[in-house]
Amino acid sequence: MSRLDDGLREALRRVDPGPDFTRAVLERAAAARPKESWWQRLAFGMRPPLVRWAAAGLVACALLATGVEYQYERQQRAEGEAAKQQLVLALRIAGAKLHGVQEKVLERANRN
Amino acid sequence: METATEMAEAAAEVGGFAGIVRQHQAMVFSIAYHFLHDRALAEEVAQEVFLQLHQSVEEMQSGAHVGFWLRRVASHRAIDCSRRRKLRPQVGLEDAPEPATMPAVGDPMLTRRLERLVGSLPEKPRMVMILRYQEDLSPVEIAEALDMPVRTVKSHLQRSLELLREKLRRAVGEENL
Repeated sequence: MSRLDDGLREALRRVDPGPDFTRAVLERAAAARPKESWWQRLAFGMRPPLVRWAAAGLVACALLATGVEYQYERQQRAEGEAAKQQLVLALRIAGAKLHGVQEKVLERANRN
Repeated sequence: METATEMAEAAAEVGGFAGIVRQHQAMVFSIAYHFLHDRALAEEVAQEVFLQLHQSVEEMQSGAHVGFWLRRVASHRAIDCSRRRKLRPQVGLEDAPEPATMPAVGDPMLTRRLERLVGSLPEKPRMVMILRYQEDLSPVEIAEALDMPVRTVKSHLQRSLELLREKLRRAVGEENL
């Protein structure tokens, strides 16, 4: 180790910036923190974990609504199908009766 | 209004960051101070380094990483500041006045003389010397901090030491170095 090395270590030793340095840095760091705007404060409820609960609730509501809608449509379709069957049956009965009446009318006409 | 949890988190964050600042402030400030030779400017640079750390403190992986990061950012910021404000010393190493006598090591006169001589070096060699003799870094570590090849670091060190030695030898003679 030369005297020049020793001299350089002495000349370039660490220097403390002073007792106020830490406080100044912390003050600047605090000032640099972005302040919440009015709309951010308004959207307080959108912060986690509230936002996660809200999203889960929305998804549950959507699933429930979809299920109810599906069940309603299925019931409507079944009722429509039953009504259709009843109508077809009624038409067949009416057709059969008309056919019977028509045969009787033709029979009488042939007799006369 | 902050919740208790948020206030506790903020207090922990500030306490941790304050500890980091206290631990490393001498190192960061000294890099800037020895490079810029301006106390106010060095303090400004050092504060900016810590503010940058505050913004990216979550990326730090360990205490050693913080130290490496601070040393690296402080070096680059000091160089940038010197370039931006044109504070590179106007007196070249060759033009610096000769000391009348060679003071002993530890002598304030030698210390001041060496500070001035190092301060008169070009940017990169100056920062290499600061990291070598202030931070006691190896050439490999200096190369990592300054993004330069190890060969270049060694070359800067060798040439700077030769210049300083020659400058002092002229004044005091071979035996005193």
